[in-house]
Amino acid sequence: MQGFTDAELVKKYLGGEQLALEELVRRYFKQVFFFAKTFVKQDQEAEDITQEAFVKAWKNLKKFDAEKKFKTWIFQITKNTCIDYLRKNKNMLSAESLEEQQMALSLEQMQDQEPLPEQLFDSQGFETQLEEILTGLPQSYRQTVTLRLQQDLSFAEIAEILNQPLNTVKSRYRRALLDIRQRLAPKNQ
Amino acid sequence: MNDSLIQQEKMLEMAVNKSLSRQPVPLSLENLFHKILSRIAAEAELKKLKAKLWVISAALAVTLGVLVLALAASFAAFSKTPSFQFLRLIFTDFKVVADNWQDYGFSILETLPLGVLAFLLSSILASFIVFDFAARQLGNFRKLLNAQHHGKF
Repeated sequence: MQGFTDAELVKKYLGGEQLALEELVRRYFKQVFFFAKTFVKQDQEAEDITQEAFVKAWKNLKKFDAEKKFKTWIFQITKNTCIDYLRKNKNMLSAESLEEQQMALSLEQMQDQEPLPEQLFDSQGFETQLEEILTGLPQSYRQTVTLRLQQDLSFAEIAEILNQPLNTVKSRYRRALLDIRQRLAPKNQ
Repeated sequence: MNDSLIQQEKMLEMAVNKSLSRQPVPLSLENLFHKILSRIAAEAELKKLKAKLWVISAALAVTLGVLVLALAASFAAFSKTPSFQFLRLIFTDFKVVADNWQDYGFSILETLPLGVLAFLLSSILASFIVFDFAARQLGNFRKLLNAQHHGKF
């Protein structure tokens, strides 16, 4: 089953091949888990959301549009499941408060940035520092960066998943990188 | 943005990507794949059971309707036949009944509305079978629902 595309696997499953579904789950469950983890703190919560997202996907597999990417579709379902979960658990941070969390950085500031010292990237403790910075990033930044760099999705796909305008996603991504740069800079310069 | 910043942004992207891919994989993630498949299997089972429950509900309704009909038909048939009057003789003329018990027995059998009686007994039997099946399916349904309630959703 490994040689088939996602759309072919969906078709095969709907045609009665159980193994096709297993392959789809195998392909995406870790990615879905890590994406869910950008919404919630606990691993257990992310696991529950991952399970629920796949169950929802399974229930709606007949409605899957083969013209679209399965990956984008499952991530959309995961995002909606995360929002439902957070609402249900009354942890939901409103869009406003999320924005408040974000640093008020303008893209213009990017122009004024001094390059980071070259040796910074090779310095000892850089990786640990970067990990800490990524963990501390505002949720929307972390999601955008994760989808772009870890999941290798295009800005258009990210915009579709997060249900945000394309330009918002692009600027959020750039702001996230700027945020990372700023957090890296003062500690190392 | 100058070239060195652009180049550095690429380096930063690479570093972030590397850092994200190094995220620690929780031990429980090894079981997650199987948990997802089990959950989907349970949902599929639940879906089948729900469909069965609809069929069972319909069967129960039909069986109960038939049972009521059978009871009404039996009541009407018994009221038209002299079976009850024969039965009453046991209490009023026991000695005569005892002396002629064979004739008495045949007379009762002859007056019994056997068709309606068979209809009543078979509908009672059918009701028992459907109730028993429904009880077992409901038990399975409850078990599955309880299993689902242990989850967060």
